[in-house]
Amino acid sequence: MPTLHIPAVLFHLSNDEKEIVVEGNNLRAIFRKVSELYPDLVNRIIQDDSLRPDIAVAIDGTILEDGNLIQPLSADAQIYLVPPIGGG
Amino acid sequence: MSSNNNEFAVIGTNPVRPDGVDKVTGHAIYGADVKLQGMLYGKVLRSPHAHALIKSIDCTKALELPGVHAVITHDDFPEPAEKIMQTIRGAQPAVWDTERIMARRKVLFRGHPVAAICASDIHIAEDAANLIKVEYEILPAVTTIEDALNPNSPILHDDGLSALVDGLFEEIDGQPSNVARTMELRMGDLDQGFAEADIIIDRVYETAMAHQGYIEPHNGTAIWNRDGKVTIWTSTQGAFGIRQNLARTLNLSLGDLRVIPAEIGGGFGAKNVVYLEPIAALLSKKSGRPVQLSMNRTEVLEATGPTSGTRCFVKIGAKNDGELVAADLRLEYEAGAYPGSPVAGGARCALATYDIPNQRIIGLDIVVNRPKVAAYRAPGAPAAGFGVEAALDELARMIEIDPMELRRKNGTSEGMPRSDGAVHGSIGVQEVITATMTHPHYLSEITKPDIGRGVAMGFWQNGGGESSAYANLHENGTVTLVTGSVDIGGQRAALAMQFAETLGIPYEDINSLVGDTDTIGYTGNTGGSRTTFATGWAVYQAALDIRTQIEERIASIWEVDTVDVNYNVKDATIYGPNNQKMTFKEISRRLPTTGGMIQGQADLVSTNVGKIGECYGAHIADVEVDRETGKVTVLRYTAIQDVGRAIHPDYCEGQIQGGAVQGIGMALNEEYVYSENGEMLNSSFLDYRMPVSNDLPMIDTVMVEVPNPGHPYGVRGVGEVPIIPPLAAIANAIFDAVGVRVQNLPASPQVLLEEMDVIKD
Repeated sequence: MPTLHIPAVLFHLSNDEKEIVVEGNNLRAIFRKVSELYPDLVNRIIQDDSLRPDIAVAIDGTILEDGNLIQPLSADAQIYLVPPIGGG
Repeated sequence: MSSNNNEFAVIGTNPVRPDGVDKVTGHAIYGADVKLQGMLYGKVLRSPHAHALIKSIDCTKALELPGVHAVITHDDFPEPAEKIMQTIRGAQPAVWDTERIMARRKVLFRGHPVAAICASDIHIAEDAANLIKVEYEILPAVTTIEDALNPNSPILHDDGLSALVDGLFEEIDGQPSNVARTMELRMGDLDQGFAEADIIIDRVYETAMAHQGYIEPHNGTAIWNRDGKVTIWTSTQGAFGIRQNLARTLNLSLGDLRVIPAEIGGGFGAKNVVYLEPIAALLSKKSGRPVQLSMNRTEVLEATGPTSGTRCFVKIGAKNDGELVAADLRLEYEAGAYPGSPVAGGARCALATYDIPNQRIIGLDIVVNRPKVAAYRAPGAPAAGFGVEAALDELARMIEIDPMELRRKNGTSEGMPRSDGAVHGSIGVQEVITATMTHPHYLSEITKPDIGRGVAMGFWQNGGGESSAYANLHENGTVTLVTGSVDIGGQRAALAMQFAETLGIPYEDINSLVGDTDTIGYTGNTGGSRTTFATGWAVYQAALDIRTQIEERIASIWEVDTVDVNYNVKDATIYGPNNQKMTFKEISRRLPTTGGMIQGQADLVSTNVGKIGECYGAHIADVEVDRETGKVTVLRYTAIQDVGRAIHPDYCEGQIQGGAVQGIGMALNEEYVYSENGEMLNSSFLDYRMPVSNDLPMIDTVMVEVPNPGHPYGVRGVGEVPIIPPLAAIANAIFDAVGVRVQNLPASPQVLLEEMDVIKD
């Protein structure tokens, strides 16, 4: 199953869980499941059915600065939440 | 150094830029060149104080001056429709955006606008601005990171607005602070890593606030029509971003706003922000006339967005053989008056060149009474890179290993993880290191005293995002290519070259233009080294669209199946069954009578179809230090970089050279000098010292080409990496020359003289 890695600065919203293993074939499904456990965490990440602009994701090692919730995931996807960088 | 391997017909050549003649003959239309019938000229009244409450603003006398048409203050800005705005740096109270543009209750930096006026000529506007009376209650200014972190210092945002966003500012010991959100990246086990280390370097490095130094000041021209439609001409890196910001600031529908990007005289990240455009729009609305505003150099320096001053705590552990085992960074970045420093860029890039299994990087975003910072070429990366690369130099000397050999030994490679969750794709780190270690510059000997050599590396990755392209094929076989990417570094040529390559037609047959928000589809800003990659993808797809349509059209002409018709790029000829063929020119000529003209188009999110490229560079600097004056002279400088594939090698070389020079400026000269009360003391180019051509030797370049497999032509972003290594390369060279380890940039003559005195004593 996919694993969501929680950034250290959001540990307080995940009851200090560093990783959450959860079923889902895209990010929307993952966060729907996670919100059942940690609704404040998901509210910090998602707004209006989209990732907030200050959240980028790395999925299986590939960073998506403009990721979307319907991005298909592999069965054992490794998902990291990353602060995005803006270029000059 | 070019590297065209003849794999391509157009890519790798150096054609003339389409905007070159207009620019060298003075015919190019920049923002301040826009002239409209009945246009008025605006002037912004700015705060002389860095931190003060506004008690009252009286515009009566200014309005009485003949020739004055309108005055605005913050009261003329609409309340934001939404209370909170989401930004790349996190959620913030939406009203901060308008407060930054025009102060409301409080001024937070010297130069903060408090009112604006428009008049029939600029001199009347300036006189009228002086007649506006503003009563201030001056507050102590918080101008340094150290001040901002002092629990006894004033809190900049003390009006309760920040409470709209949970956790916007950190509490320190239960008290409000000037520290906006903290970020952290982790990988491995830090304690275990340092326990394995034989040697630990633990240092603090500082860099100064520095400006992008573009030639053209900010400007904005607006006409607010009586039907509510607003048109803006401006110097910007992204018309769509400006439109979005204006719509939010002015409570306008996107469809009522048209933003037309003018030619741009440099941006380097800072021209992604609105300053004058909404002011011009509101003055136009109030006066009923078009209004134009332009900044002077002092306004640019005091009131636009430079890059952060920083303090970086760098702790690196290594084994005696040079293997890096742990790194712990704490990055403190000035945000200016509102949260939003580029600390994430520093955090994600600082260690990405090396395999260090155990890492922690903490980033702090700290508000101070300075202008809100903006993006500046590889935002955030030069400062953190300086700390890491200077520490590595010191480490190399301690264990007596060649500094590039230390980097080779620890240089990362495909498949290795980064602390931000990414895994390196196909990258050219080792190729860059090899090219550096075998370069004649690196192999040459230094034989004179007071001359030293330093090296350093840097990392950035090109941005992705959305881009659009539209191509109109004409009967004579030429094409008008329109994209939404503002041309700040030769993009029109680089995009036309990729388009021409895809169709197999001459570059000279492409008329490459930049559209505005009403004439082309959404396109992200030109920045983040994204355009040649992302909009390159769009023009590639638009060319493929034309090829497909041509094949379909010829199939109908020949009355054959489309699958039997093939577009051959090598000779721009379409082949079919029975030895039938038709050239691109011939089918273009026949389009009007065989079904009509053809247009190719594309609108795509580049990372949905490709993969961003990771970009690495290494620089070698030779400097001479004058022990009498402290002056540092750069004697020789070589920049080596993996460019993926050089679409237009001369432009790539220019980007590398320009970035290197800006980094050298940060290393040696450039800094905002503030008085204790927050007054910038060097707000002109006479006193804000940027390197110019006679300060520097030719910047030699070596372009290594490890193509990005996530782009049809192997593009990686080129423009940002080269500003990162110079800070440490120069500082390391100074140490090599005179034994002074500079940890606080810029290494001005005064700093060096003091440090050399310490060594003598």
